[in-house]
Amino acid sequence: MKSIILILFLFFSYSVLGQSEALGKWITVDDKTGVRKSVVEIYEKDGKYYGEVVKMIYRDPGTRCTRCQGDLKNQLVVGMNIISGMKYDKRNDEFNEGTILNPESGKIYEGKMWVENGKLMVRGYIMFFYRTQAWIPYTEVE
Amino acid sequence: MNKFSLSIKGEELILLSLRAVFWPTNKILIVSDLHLGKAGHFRKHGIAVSKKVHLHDLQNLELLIKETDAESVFFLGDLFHSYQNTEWEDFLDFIHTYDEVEYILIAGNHDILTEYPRALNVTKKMVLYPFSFTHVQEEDLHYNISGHVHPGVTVRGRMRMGMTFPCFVFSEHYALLPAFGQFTGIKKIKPNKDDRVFVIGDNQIFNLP
Repeated sequence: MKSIILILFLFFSYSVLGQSEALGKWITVDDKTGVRKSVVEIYEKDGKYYGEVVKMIYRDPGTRCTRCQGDLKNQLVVGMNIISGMKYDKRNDEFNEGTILNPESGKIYEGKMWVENGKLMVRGYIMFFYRTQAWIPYTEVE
Repeated sequence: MNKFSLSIKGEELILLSLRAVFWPTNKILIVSDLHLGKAGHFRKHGIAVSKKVHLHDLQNLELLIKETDAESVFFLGDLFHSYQNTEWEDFLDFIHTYDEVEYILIAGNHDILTEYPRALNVTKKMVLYPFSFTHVQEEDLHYNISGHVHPGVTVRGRMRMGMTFPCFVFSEHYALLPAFGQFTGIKKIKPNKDDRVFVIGDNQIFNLP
């Protein structure tokens, strides 16, 4: 009985850790070119997870999403949620059922994300294919 | 990005059309005279210069680091222009983002900050056999590599029209690097007969005869 409780406890603590590990600031890394473009903050609101662009790094802070559709069209990329409505999936220790916006193409993908080896893996699905970016942790400049 | 490989004192140096030199043996990327903050300085005095000039410089630096897989970046002086401003902050953002790379500033006459960020190592001179790196050209026992002058040469075309392009100069005992910053200006030089001059135009490197 004790061991079951211990296992449950371990499982529970592990998943809680996995959940909170994704929270915070990450540097986005383009999967094709490797260039680092912006800092995105992952936060939780009403049980769902979002990723907001908090700043552009050595890129024009006035960059706008010219190819975005609807309300987002021509809005500043800084302040935009490029990850929206993700739910934490305890069983797989990942966040899914959300969307990912590419502010350069204006396209929105279904996607998921998870933490692996200290990086935030962000995957967007395009038909039967997918692309994954590995974002790196961002620490504030002292 | 166009490249040109050269052998100096038995070491390979790769000239890159983004106005940089890469030394593969030590994985060092060498750039000179960024003059960050110069555009801001001009703006402050009423001359309109795009706010994005320095961002292009930093993005080029990023491309160079990606392309060469450099472990260190040497700035041969005049990294910034006289005082701190937002361009300097963007630079700090850059070295903070690419913190796996080591940054060494070989300080020049414009580099007069009282406090340097920890990620930036500052020295007056760097010697790594067979080269020595300084801001202003210096004669010593090594092959000296420096910046400072922003060298350029005028290439004459038809109709006696001339255009001045930034260039690399490789003399017998020293080399001069072009200014990396896009908003920097060029000083026309008169190369000696034995100097090897490499002109940068249209993102290409040309070896001048």
